[in-house]
Amino acid sequence: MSQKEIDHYTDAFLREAAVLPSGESAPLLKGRRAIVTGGGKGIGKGITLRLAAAGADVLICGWGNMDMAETTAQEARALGVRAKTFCADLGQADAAEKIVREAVDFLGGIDILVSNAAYQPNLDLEEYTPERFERVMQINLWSPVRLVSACIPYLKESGHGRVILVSSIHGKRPSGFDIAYATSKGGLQMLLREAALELRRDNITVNAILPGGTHVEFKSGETFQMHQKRVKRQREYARVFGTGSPSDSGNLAVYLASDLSAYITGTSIRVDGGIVLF
Amino acid sequence: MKSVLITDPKHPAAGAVARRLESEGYRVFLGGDFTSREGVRASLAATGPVDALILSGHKGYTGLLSDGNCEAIVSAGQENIREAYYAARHYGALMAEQKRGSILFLSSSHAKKPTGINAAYSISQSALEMFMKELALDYGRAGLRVNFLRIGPLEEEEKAFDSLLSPADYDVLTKSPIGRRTTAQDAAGAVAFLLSPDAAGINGACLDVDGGLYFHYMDREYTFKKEADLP
Repeated sequence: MSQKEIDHYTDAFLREAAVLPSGESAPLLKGRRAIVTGGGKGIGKGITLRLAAAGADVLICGWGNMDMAETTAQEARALGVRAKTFCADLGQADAAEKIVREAVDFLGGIDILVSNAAYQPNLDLEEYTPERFERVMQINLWSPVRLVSACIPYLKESGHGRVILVSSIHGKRPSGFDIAYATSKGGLQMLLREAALELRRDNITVNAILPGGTHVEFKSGETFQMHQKRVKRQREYARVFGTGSPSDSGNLAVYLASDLSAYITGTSIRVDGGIVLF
Repeated sequence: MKSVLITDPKHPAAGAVARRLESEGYRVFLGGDFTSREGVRASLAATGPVDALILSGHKGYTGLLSDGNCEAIVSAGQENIREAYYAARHYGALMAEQKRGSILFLSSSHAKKPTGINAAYSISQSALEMFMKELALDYGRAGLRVNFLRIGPLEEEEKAFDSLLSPADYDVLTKSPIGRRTTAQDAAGAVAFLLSPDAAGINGACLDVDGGLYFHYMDREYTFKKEADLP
């Protein structure tokens, strides 16, 4: 079965996944309100469209590639939900507050936070300037801390709040090609645990998705040279493990955002075809 | 004479580590400014290249993610990572030129296990554990060894556990299979071992020095206690 066919059947399934007490079927996340950072492209787009197919309204946050984010919003709206884009640079300390304000204005509350946006320059220690190292930390680690913190009052109000951190297999094992990226993902693994511990009594679950090699157009901050390097590495990886699709992470995000996963918190799930088995 | 730099002398185990390494013939340097290029260059001018670098930054912020003091969490966490980055990069580059040396992180069980009250510390230590692994891959090829110590709650920090920390900290003693907290001497012994030739084959490793405390479950609600409730 081709990826396109799999996506088609998954969308159809998600639109009729939950059976209501009346016996009618309804989308699994009908009426839920979600923020997806970096939700306009790559893995974020896969997540946005799967959440939308499952009935969730979505605020898509992007920065620098807003045309792609707008296209994704149109595709989400075509699935029958409300969707809007918002531009914010997660490298800035006030971005999280702005995003949360916008989400509350547009959606009327927040049930699901998907912290997905990331910056991966693919540089070695010697190649990193301190400023660029710091920016990776800001976007990949400290902005999720700020976002989780800012969303907590609304997630509590929701009664079934869900936080999904999109990390990486490099939160589990080192990369060998991007020291700052892996460091930030290592930190995310602990944000996951601290937030899960603190928020469990408020019925808020916090889980992480750890994608491995995933077929995406390009990554934020990637130069042509970096892109070539990554594509070469992914081609070697794909020979053995295949390459994931953004919708693979999207499918898991729907499950983690739904009531089906209410007893699952503080866990991280790899979506990597089995490349990291320890 | 071998030399070692311990970046943060305020770490509760730093004194014991320094004394142990002095007894083994090391010249010990304590502290410096590792928050900027200028700071680390000044430190390098004072110490010259060293044989061992011990990264002991342990800033934290006592408070919950839901408290609304997020910037205090970010600021403390950032500082731990920034200091390790500057020190490891500059001192590590000199070690790599000499094709020998050791970098050791004096960290905590909370690099692996949440605190329930100090996300700034645990998030930064968890990030540094992965930073260590990347350094071990990178510098390992240049003949350096980079390792990580996860130290359990220290006896020397006893007063820290009498503060507004979680009730779970009160039963550290009952939850530790060896029935006591870790001591600074335990930590110093592990440091001496990892810097010794006996550990020549150990690179990219995390050593738990916590008496097995890590294995207890997260079976308590983590809540603030009022000052009045404290023993």
